[in-house]
Amino acid sequence: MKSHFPRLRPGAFGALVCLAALAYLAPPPASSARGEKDWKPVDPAEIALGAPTVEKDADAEALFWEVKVADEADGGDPRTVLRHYVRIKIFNERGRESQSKVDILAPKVGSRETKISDIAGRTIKPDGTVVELKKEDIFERTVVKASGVKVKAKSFALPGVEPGSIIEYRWREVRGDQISFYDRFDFSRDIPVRVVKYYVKPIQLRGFPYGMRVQTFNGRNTPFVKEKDGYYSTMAENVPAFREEPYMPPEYSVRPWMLVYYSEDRNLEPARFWKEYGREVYEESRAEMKVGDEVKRKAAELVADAPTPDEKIKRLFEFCRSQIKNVYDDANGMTAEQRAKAKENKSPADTLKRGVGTGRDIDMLFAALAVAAGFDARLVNLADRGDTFFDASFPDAYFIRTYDIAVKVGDQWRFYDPASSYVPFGMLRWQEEGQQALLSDPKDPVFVVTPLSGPEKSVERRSGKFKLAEDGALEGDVRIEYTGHLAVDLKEYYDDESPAEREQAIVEKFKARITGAEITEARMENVSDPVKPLVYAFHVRIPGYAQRTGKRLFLQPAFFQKGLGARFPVATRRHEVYFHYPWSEEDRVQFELPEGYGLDNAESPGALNGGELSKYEPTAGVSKDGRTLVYTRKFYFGQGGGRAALLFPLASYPSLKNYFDQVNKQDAHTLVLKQGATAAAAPPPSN
Amino acid sequence: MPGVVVNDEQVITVGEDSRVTTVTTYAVRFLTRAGFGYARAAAAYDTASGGKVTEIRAWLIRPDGSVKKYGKDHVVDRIADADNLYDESRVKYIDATRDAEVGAVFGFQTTTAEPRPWFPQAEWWFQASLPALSSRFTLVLPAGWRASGTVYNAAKVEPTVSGNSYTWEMRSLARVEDEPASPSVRSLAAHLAVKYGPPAASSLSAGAFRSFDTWADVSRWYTELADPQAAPDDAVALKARELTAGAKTELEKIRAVGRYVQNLQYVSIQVGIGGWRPHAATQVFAKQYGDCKDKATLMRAMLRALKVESYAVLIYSGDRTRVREEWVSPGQFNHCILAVRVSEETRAASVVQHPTLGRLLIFDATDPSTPVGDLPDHEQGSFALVAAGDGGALLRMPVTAPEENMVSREVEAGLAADGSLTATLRLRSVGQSAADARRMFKGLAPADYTRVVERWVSRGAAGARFSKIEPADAHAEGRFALDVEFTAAAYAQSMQNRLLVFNPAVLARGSSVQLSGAATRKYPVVLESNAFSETVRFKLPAGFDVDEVPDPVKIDSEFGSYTASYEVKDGQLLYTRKFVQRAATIPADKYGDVRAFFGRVRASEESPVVLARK
Repeated sequence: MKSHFPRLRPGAFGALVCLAALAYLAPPPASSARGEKDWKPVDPAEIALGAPTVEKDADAEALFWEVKVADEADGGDPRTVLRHYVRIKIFNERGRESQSKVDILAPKVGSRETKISDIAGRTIKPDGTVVELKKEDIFERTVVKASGVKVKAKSFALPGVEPGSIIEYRWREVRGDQISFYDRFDFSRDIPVRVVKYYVKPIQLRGFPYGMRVQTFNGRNTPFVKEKDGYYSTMAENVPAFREEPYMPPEYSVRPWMLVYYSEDRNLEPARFWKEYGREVYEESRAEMKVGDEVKRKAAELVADAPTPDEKIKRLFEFCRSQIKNVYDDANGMTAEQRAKAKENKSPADTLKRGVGTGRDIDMLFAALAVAAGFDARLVNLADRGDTFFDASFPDAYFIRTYDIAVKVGDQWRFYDPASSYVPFGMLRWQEEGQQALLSDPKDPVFVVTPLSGPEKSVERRSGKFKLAEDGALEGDVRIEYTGHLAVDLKEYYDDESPAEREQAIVEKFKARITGAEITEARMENVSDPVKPLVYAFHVRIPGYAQRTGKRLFLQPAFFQKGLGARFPVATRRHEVYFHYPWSEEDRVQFELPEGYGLDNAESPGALNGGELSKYEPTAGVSKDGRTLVYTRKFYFGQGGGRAALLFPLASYPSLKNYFDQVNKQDAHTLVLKQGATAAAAPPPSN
Repeated sequence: MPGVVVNDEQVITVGEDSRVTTVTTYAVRFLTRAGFGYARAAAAYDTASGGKVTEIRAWLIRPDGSVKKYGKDHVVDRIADADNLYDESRVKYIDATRDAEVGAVFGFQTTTAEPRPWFPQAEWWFQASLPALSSRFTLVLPAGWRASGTVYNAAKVEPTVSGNSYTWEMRSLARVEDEPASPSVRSLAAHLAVKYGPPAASSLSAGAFRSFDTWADVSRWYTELADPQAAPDDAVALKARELTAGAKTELEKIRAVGRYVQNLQYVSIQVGIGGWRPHAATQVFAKQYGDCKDKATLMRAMLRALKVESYAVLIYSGDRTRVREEWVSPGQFNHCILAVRVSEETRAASVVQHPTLGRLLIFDATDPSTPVGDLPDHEQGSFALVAAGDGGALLRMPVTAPEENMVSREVEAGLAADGSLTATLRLRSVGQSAADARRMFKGLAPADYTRVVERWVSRGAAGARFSKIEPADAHAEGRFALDVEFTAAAYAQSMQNRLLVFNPAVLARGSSVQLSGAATRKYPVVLESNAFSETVRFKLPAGFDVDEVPDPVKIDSEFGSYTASYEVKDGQLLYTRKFVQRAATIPADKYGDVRAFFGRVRASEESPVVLARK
């Protein structure tokens, strides 16, 4: 596994909003605490409010939510002080259940400690009476305590809450030994928010060379305005609740939020920032890719008789992936103790000699071997689209902390990641494919786009050979192969599980889909093999698979889709539809029919054409002797590459849903078998 | 097999001063990676009683003989139940799962000390989910004290007695496997229940220890704890009167109070007497929140203000086979409900006859989906203790009849020649079936509830489009209704433009027992009480005749019945099915009957109808 935190450092250039970095130690504001013990006035209209205003049918609504973030130097020790205040209108019992019980966590890790204080809360009942949260009803508990870590919590339940009540509470949070360093602050909650307002206050420390920057995403917040006591504020109104949904884009490309950090005040345009950053990365990575004699010897040995540049690269790649153990791979067989004791590699030669290293060590060794073999190799930095979508107009390296190695083969840059155990040669983790990647260079770094593997690279290939009994029971053997990203995801999931657990997983997966299935001889193959497809195999018997009436048997030939519901069963959704990567499916199912039975008015399921994007092609036919029915199904999705093949706006949801509904319908296609009927369907497919 | 327990042992030593020291020793050998999850040492303690973990150590002996020791640097101390807002129970543990290896042995020893036990009782489970070579429990008592124990789910085991030390031991124990729809592992495993105490003449017998010889003893103890908390003040009494102002009958009064208390927020704050004592009703009322025993207590206080007598009831929620009548211990319970003394005028499914207290209406004030007059299905049929002072006793909870939990559905469906379907569904449910529906309805925002209904209908009618989804909850009457109108293109499959094939069971039946595909099982099958009936009236497309319908089905068994029939008349197909499942715990040797029953039901429900063009 690749470390996602290779090098954290303050970004070097200006952001969207730069809040003044004060080069002197300002006196503490005398009035900072004044008035904060008082609750803000409650508008009678808020008490009378009978229905939510931001989102219809909301269970509760935050009337306002205010957070003051102040970076301070308390006697020279940095700290971030946050003052939280939220007022929530409760509309029903669900709202009460979800909102009136509050846990505020205060972790302490090493010398970094978060402290919670000044908790106050109250309930304003629908008739206007106020019930205060009493001190004795605030419970402090140590949630967990271990060597070097302690998590305390202050917990309370607001008293007297009923539908129609307003609850409000506030607290002070001090994060010790730190200032805002790429901290993410959300503008949305699990309930809609009428007004959310953030106040931020940069640290006021003489000689501190960095300015506080704030970048907001996915929101419509107001421009920052200067407030009293050194704060700057921004607000957003009518922010919908954030809720997850299947097949949605990454959370942080959807919900509104802001990033708070510090960087030098160099005020560079994005294009210039990336140029300078790419040069810095180049210089730093050259040292990490240093080619020594051992590396040269190993490279020569590995590529000695390789006939082509591609083959040379492949050998170097496979060597790094298979012969160098990644300390952070959870299935590498190392104990926690061994991991902790693993020495730091200072050069590719160290990694080569020890045969073990971090993900970055492995990638750098690969790069060094490539350079030693005569290739130009570079470090590329790129974003993880599993976290958020990258936008190069934000001039900071925060989002491109993931990295790969680019190797120039002929006149093309190709991208490799030997540190990821199961990613096939020629592919990257799906999170890194189709991404803008900054190609480091001593003079002219540029963004290049990593290739997006097509559906043929990630295949679910399924086959089944069954005997169908006259009573409808089906029995036979099943084999399913996964390649590409499909295999990577499954291998990562199962590689640290036992064979018994994997077997159980197969059994559970299929039993959940087909009631009454009796599964035996289940096994999972090639789970930790980086190259071979992951394989599920099992024997299955399903009483009543085909339905029997007086004279007919009804058979769903799409065995692998039986019992699967529609991919998009609901009429509306909140978020765009996002598929992680293109994929394809290939099925071949063979049924030996019961003696004397043939197809009755048989009709093959229909094909569907989704243009370049997708195709669905099922076929069904019988052998010449009429005893064997063969069903095949080919499906792919995401052809054509690029974001447009994976990301679908809400407006296209009905047509996308309709397409998958049609696939689901054709998958449910039934063939009718009748005793004495003549087999009249097409001959079976040949492959 | 993931692993085998090499040694599992606990020694409880009770001091003259009643201080209890518990030493637990455990060793497991890992046979596969699946066993690594057992590489954990844990010791629970209760801060309220002054309990402490005085020692926790662990070792991992690797296959090569090397040993890793785990000491205080590896110990994690956490709250026992994070769901409680506050809880004085904690646990210390060592997690060695990431170091475990196949062939290694993980062992630990923990020592806990308590000033005195809550009750002079102990339980020990010889069996668990791994097989064990040896499992042993030793109780060391002060001179003159006596212990007696009973082993459940296994042949009788006599203790080895040496002086004041009693040891029960079992060897070569099979594991208890988890099977779907079975009693819990703890209900099935061989286990020991021990009670001990000083001689009757001892000064300790009446003081430090609360001993239980009969269920009446437990009743007295809990009554003493709970009853004073159920005293109403003026505010509680006023609210009770206000709630019942319009109530004309005893049942209406109880309903009004029950609904109010059920609607209070569930917040669990476990303090004092091991979390047994409820908060005072007045406090619960003022804060408008509480846990199960708090809610029961507030309801009792309100009823008391209305001159209606009621009792706290201790029960085990989640497994009706769990509580054993022979083992007199409050430790068997995990939940608190209440029993309301009612007159003959009150008729409800949850009324039971108590030998001395008369007619009792059993009610769970915590489950907001089950109204007065009904009882959550996981509590039905269980033993529960009615805490009524001297008159308290263990009582079997009522079991509602399948028909009292009926789901009735009527579907009017029009089928077109192109296979498209237009349908209206009218669903009505009562009892626990209504409670299940209500739980989902109340637990989800309206848009999310709509999505759930859409998903359910779409599983039977792919690509369905909806013009109406209208739920209606009648909580007080224990009824729930759902009306749905939808269309589905190509519901029936056309074949060569000559046949139309479709499943007359358009919508899945819903609740059904999930059995594994295995042909045999080890443990009983636990079935709940429910019933279902449906009529689907298909208007058939012009130009088509019914070519074939499935054979009618009639299945009867001791635990349920199922019928399905098809009638064609005046261009319509009438499909009816009725399913009845009785609450039962069916022995494993009759599993074949259960499997065959549900297999035949499933086959019938998947059988299609064939129409042929005239």
